[in-house]
Amino acid sequence: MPEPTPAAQGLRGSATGRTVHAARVRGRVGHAAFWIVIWALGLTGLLYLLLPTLIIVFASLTAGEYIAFPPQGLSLRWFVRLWELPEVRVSAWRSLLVALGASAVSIGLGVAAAFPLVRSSFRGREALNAFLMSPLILPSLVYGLAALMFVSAVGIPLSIPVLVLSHVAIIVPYVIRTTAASLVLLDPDLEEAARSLGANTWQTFLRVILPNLLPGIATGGAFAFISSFDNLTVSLFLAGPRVETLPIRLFAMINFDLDPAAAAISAVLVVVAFAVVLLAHWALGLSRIVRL
Amino acid sequence: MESRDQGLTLSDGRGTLRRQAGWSRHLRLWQLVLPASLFLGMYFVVPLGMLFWWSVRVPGVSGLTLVNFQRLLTDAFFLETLWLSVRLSLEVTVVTLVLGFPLAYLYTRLGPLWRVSILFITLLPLLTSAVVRSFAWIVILGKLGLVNAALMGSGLVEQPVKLLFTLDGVRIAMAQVQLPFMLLPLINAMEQLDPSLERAAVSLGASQARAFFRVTVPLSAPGVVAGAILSFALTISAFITPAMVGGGSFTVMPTLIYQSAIVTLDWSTASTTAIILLVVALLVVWGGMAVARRYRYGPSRA
Repeated sequence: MPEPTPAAQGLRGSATGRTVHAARVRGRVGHAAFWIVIWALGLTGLLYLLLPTLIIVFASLTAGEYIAFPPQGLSLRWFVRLWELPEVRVSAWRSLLVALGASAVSIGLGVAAAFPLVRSSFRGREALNAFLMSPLILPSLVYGLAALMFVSAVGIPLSIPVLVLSHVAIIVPYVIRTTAASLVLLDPDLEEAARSLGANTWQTFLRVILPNLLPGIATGGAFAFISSFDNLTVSLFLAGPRVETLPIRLFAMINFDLDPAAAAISAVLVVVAFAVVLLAHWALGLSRIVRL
Repeated sequence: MESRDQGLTLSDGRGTLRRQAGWSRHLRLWQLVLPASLFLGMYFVVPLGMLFWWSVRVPGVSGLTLVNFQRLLTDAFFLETLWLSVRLSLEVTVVTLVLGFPLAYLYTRLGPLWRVSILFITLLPLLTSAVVRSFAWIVILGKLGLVNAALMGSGLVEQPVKLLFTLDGVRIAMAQVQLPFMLLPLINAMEQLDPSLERAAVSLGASQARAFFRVTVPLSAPGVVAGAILSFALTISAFITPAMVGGGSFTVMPTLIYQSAIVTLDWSTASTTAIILLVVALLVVWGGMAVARRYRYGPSRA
């Protein structure tokens, strides 16, 4: 119970003083209770968000033959073991290739599209923006099914390029959005100034516009990369048995049994995600990303 | 690119010429959206059209038909699946709101180091593969997992509690997966509120809790609605977590779509289920936006 303030002590004795004092104490207890509840729920939420990441990294460091709590000793043997599993290595390279290809194409399409969406006003600009963002809203499982129907109707055999293009369709909005957000902050007079000082169009673009947009493009590109690299739902429909990606491999491994090697792959993916968040923080700042 | 060059070189920074140049530049600049738009038109809109086409066609019947929808919407198992999906999504949305709102509120009241830490912890799971997060929950909820180790170690239970491959397990895992999607819109909305509004309410005699519920909560309604829409729509269309943590012990709409498309090769059922899923999600989005509009104008008039 908090000590009464000198003012309250001075008033003690009179009836009004006692009521005021009681109300103050009640107010302070209520205040403390309110913040205890808020902190308890908030910290629970924070721990809840963090727990799976911590657990999977911890589980991958086990020295035992299976995943259990508490783990039987710590070691890096399961990370070493990953290199001895050829199907993991092959699928990891394939996923890397697909993700690099898909994010490169997305950057090309997305950066170009961001310019008119920000810098010019034309009829239907808002509608076009909504259209270009719509892949973010559509469930990727539904898109996977639709893309499979499309690809088989056209008669293209399932292959890596098909997978790359389908990933582009769902990741290009990230690049458009982050590039557009950087472009909004770039003063058009800067381009005007560069040109009036004698720079030609390409010089203006490469030396003035691009360096200023680079943080936005890099963040969007990193988000696009990791969305493609981690994608399971679209790939499940389009990869087929011959074009297995790392998430499909991991999905199959986990459904088979609780292999610590699967935990080691997961830990690697967590580290990649960590790197992307760090890059985003360094390039744009996390508080700006929230507002995207 | 070439047409944009001409537009740019025309402007030399002087009066009418500049205005004209700007105008002509904009006229050509819009062409830069063409590659992305054409690509999505070809590789996104056309496939979705085909999905729709599959749902309104039946082999051997000419013309469009609603037979697929009629068949599914009168099927007891399908309706049960649909209801389970809707219920699960509502429950998950409520859990994310109860945990997300206090965290978002704390975010707005804490210093920069806390803020960056909260954002980091929110974004890290968002960018971690859903397969990895679901796997982590399998490890946590399993018979040899963390929860059972803690429960049995403390002597609370004799036998391991079955959480993995149950609906409860999926609820727990799903809420964690969706929490970032609730948090980000909430943080976004609450950051724009002036903390002095709440202080004013307190200095005028309201308790801290009363000020919170009567000032901060109503003013954050747009963020709540945005987060709830996202959380609901993403839960009802989530495939990976129910498939992995649920382990086939029950069926939700996305697992039904996957099974029909890949296992039984029944594309009519798969596409019709997908269309129904989209309609339910759109109805929730639309309903949520209607609620948000009421909130924006309602309390301010009162």
